[in-house]
Amino acid sequence: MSSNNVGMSVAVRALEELPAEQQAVYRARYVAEETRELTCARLGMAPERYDDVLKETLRSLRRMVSATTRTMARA
Amino acid sequence: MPKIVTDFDKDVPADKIVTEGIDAFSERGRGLMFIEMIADVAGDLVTPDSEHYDETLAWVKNSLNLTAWVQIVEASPSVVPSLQKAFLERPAALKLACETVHRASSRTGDGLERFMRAMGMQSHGGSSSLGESDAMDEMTDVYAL
Repeated sequence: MSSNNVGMSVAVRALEELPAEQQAVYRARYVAEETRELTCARLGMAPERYDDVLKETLRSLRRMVSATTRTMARA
Repeated sequence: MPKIVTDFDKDVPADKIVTEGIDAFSERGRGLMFIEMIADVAGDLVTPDSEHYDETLAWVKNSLNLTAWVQIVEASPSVVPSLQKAFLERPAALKLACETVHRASSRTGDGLERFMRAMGMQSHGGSSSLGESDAMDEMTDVYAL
């Protein structure tokens, strides 16, 4: 498996660990490439709430995904 | 919130490797995620009073974190030092560039390419061939979109 596939594997695992609402927005935006308006209509979500959830999703992913010190040493 | 420890070497346990779902991530989707991740970080750093400022600053200062995301989107590793410099020296300009490129990416689908050019980076392999002034020219181009 290439490093990129491992990287994407990590992203998929991180996605699966997100709370349900964040996971729904993440999948809609980055996997299905659905527009904000369509996702809001489909999920019955206010646009302001969508923005908040997306921001919190990115913050969650930042917290969840980090590299090990050993990886850095080998880079 | 669990922490996903990434190790891009061979030591990733087999049971932790995910194969299903990876193909669903398009290059455009990954690029958009990366740009929005960067824009979100930049947004935190232009508001020192925000509750997330210290956490985000610490995240940026550890280049491991940027390296991990660069590997996830398969961008050039040479982008990391430029991103760190931009984050720490001119976060407001970086935030504006990210937001503008994000809007452009919605129309053109080449947001990651534009973003990396704006940072003075080649997007696929190799090191930067653009100097600082060229990078700023690119930023100006991005602003004008």
